[in-house]
Amino acid sequence: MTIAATAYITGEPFAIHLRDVRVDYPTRRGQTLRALDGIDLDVAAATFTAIIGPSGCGKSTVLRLLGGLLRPTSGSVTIGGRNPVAAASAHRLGVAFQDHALLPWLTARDNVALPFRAVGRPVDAQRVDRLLDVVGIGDFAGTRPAELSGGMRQRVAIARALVLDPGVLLLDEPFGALDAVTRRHLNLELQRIWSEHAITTLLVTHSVEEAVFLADSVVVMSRRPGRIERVQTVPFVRPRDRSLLATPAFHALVDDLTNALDFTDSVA
Amino acid sequence: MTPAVQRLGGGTIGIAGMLAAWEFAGRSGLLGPSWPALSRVAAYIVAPEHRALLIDAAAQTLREAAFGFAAGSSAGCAFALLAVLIPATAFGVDRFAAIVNGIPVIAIGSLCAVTFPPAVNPIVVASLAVFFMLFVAATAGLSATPAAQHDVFRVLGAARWATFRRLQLPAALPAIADGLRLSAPVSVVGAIIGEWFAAERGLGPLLVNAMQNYQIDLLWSAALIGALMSATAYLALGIVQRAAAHRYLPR
Repeated sequence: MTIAATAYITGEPFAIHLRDVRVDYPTRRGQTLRALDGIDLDVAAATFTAIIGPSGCGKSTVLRLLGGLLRPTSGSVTIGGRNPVAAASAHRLGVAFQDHALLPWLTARDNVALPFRAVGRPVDAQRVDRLLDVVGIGDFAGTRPAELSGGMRQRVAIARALVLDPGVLLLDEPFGALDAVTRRHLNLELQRIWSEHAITTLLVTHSVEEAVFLADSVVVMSRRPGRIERVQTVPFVRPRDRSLLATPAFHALVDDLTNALDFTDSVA
Repeated sequence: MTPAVQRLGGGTIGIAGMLAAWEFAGRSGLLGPSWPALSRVAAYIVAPEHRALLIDAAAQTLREAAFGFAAGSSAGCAFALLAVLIPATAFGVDRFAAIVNGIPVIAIGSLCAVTFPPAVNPIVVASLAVFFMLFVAATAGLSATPAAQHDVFRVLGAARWATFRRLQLPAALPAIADGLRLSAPVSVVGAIIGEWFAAERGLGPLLVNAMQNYQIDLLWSAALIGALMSATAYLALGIVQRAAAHRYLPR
């Protein structure tokens, strides 16, 4: 397969910068809950970054900041030199959550085409069909989500996230609700898709294995208030395949990062 | 037996049992002379000399109920849309709808009777009775869109109107269809209450006259026709509601 035939990512990938970001939530009792504190993070364009950390450490909050769904209490967040709300308004962000959030009344094809309609652009049917093929559900284009398996729904959700040719792909536990076998399979697929077209990607995950397999660097966060404990570069060359999962180097890195996670747990 | 057949069978048995009890109570005189047997009411309805009167009354009430249903449900949906699309109006719209709903239908009926011409009154009462049900159903439906779907639209940078049209409105259709189904009988009741005060035609005046003149068979005939109209509208809109739920709700 040549790059030209599958060039569905052509826009300029964005770099991401977070500077001294703090996020406070007001609680019902009138106190404030500090979700993130002193977050500094630089993500180079066209790299894959995974964020891991204990539950409730604010991993998803980082992604909500980048999606423009939340503003920082203090500090600055930029995507491609703009604030996230401006990047969202320019239709340059792609997103997929653990909840596939597909519209039940639309077929897989119409769900992938939805972003065009949602932002008032003419539907590029060729591009929609190509992305359905890229994520491997071309044969189910006319099927509604109710008739698709959990893994297939996430494939549709990822095609939808890519359809507007975003500069950044935000993934919040997209495979978190899937069984282990399906999850591993989709990780292989995502790795393949990503290796063909490097797009700046942020993945929030509970799985250290998933993070190490997919990412160029892994960010380890501490328990609330979320801080960055460590940024680990992942040295494995791309494209990566199943055989990487069996290598001692892979396991050593996974164990090392798992220990780092356990340590942030015990600190709290 | 499939569950659908079971339900249908159970429903048929239930209705048949009820009708049989009605027939028995009437024939045995168990509940006194003012309780006629079902067969006698049915015979009264189909008798050629009564048919024209009953059809005219039923058609009149049906027209009023249909207009009231259309006007009330449109207004209810329109107010719900207003509150959702212009959030600043939500509080005021909500209070207004609650106050309208808080007035007893009988009070609305008499207030309207002195305000509107007799021919319009039943339509106004029916539409006011339907209004609140649709307002509540549409408001609930429009605000029940899953948060994750909203987040996707926001991250995509979708405009407010596009989010409404592509996401909120379709997602609200099952709830709106449910509101329509539940308010169909209410529109019939509202029309009859509206007729009660001053109307010259319709089931309402028929009921009033029959009651005052002790025309037991006519009274029961009018009541039975009103009940059948309500039940038919409810069942017909039930089909619409099931179709909407099947298409628009996650399974």
